[in-house]
Amino acid sequence: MFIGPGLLHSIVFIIGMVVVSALVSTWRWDLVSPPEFIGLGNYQRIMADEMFWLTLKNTAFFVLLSVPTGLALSLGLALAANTKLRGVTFFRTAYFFPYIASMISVAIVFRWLYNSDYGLMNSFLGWFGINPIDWLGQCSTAMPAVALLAVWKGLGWNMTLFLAGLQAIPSHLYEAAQMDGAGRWRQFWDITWPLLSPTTFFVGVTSVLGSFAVFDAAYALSGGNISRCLTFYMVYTWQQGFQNFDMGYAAALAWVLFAILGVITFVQFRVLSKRVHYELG
Amino acid sequence: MAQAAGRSASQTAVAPPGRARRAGGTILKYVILGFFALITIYPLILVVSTALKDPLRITVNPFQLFSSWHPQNIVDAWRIGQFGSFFFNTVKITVPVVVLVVALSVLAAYALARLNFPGKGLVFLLFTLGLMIPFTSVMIPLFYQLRDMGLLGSIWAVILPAVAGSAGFGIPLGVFLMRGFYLDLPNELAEAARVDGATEFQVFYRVMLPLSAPGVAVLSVLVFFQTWNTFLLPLLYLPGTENRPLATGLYQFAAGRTQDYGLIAAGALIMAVPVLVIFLIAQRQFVKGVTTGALKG
Repeated sequence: MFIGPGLLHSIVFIIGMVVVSALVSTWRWDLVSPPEFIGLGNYQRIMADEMFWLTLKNTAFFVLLSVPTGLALSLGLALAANTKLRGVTFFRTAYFFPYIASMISVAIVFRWLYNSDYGLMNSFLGWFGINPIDWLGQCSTAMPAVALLAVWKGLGWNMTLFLAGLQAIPSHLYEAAQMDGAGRWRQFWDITWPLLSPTTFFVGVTSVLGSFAVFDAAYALSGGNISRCLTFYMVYTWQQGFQNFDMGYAAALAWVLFAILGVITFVQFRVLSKRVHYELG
Repeated sequence: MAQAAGRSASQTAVAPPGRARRAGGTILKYVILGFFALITIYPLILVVSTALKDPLRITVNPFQLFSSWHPQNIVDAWRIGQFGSFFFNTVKITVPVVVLVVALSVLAAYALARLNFPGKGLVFLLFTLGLMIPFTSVMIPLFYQLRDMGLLGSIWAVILPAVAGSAGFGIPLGVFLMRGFYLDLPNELAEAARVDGATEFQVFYRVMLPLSAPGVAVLSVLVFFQTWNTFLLPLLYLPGTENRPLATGLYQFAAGRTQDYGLIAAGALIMAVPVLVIFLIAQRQFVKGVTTGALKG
């Protein structure tokens, strides 16, 4: 009675759909003609698809660019905000704002900031005598531009998680370290970093998963015309399924992504969880 | 970094080195904190300022803040830009999602945390699976499912997947969040109610549910944010204009009228206001949700 409705809904809309999705990925299906079973044909096509490799590379590059930056910045900010200074609640509230903002609104504002003619980014660089840059118009800057938007958007949420982790560390450990004459730097590496590792691990794993699914940021920042270098894996899957109506192929693409994420998460758990300290001291 | 600045301050200051060092560190901390607060809030300030700006002033200097008073933008966006109708569509989608996710997750989480029944392990595994499967893997068959159910283009085409977690926070995550809450609640109260002859459902409804109110508040607010802002779901399953919510509405509007900055900003502001209001109200609930730990002891 308690479980029934919730479970039923989850089964129909997630688990059932996964099974259907696996079936669809073995079909050639364009919506018009009836689906035709082609076995692993779609998967063979993926391996030979140049766009598959390109979008996978784009996405991997985006993850490598945004996740470490986001982790370092949000940890640094959490360390700075973990004080009893007056007004610190205001700052923490302010940092949370990007998380609750809609990605579409935010991307529109970032488009203004990145604008090559009048954007604030170029005005700012102009003070240092740097020539205007067409941020979203060329691959070398468009990718960092999207990554910056993603980092900005995730900063507050990750910082809040880090802050909760920091506040769970007992203060007597720091007092003891101070007595022993350990400086701030030593205290960080010997106390904070190891005791914070469960949080760091969690934030890291969820950020990687979230960044692989990047869609809204690239879509909205490009204003519909997504250039090749911003065609991320999710964008490509969406294009195949909902623009080319190549549903079987898109389903197969989704399965390949699922497998890749599964392997990455598994490796993260195996390699990193050994270094995570779940106990105190 | 804080230390380096503190050291240089203590060398030049006349005051006792310890205090000067601390003062230098404090100032530096404020500078860092303030800098990041400026970066995170600036887009909001810019949106508010642009939404209230005269179109002429925008073309002259788009980034000058609060240079004119022109609230007509907001009226125009609401009426001509159809943001009024987008707004109510979003409400019609978001409210059912929040109610359904909270109600269904609370029930399932309570049962998983507090009751024993056959197949509990399997149920737990199924919810975990629901948590791990990315939306990409289900977005294509979902399209057909919704089409066959005749729901494509109706608000249910967004509500049903969102309840399942396709927008981020759905039943699986809700179950995990609330389960943690129920595991932490003391057993004595429930036992006392049972001794008094309460049924299992009464124990849940009268005793445990009120105790978990902070968790319910946090879950409701998180589900609200996610659903209010969700873009991909309406993009895929709400193609028409009839039930278009703010996220896709704003996107289409901005793509179609790239020069009307004032109206676009007004639309973004209309979309942001409910979220901001609820966030500011829920701030305290967030704190309470964290401090419930005190109840445990």
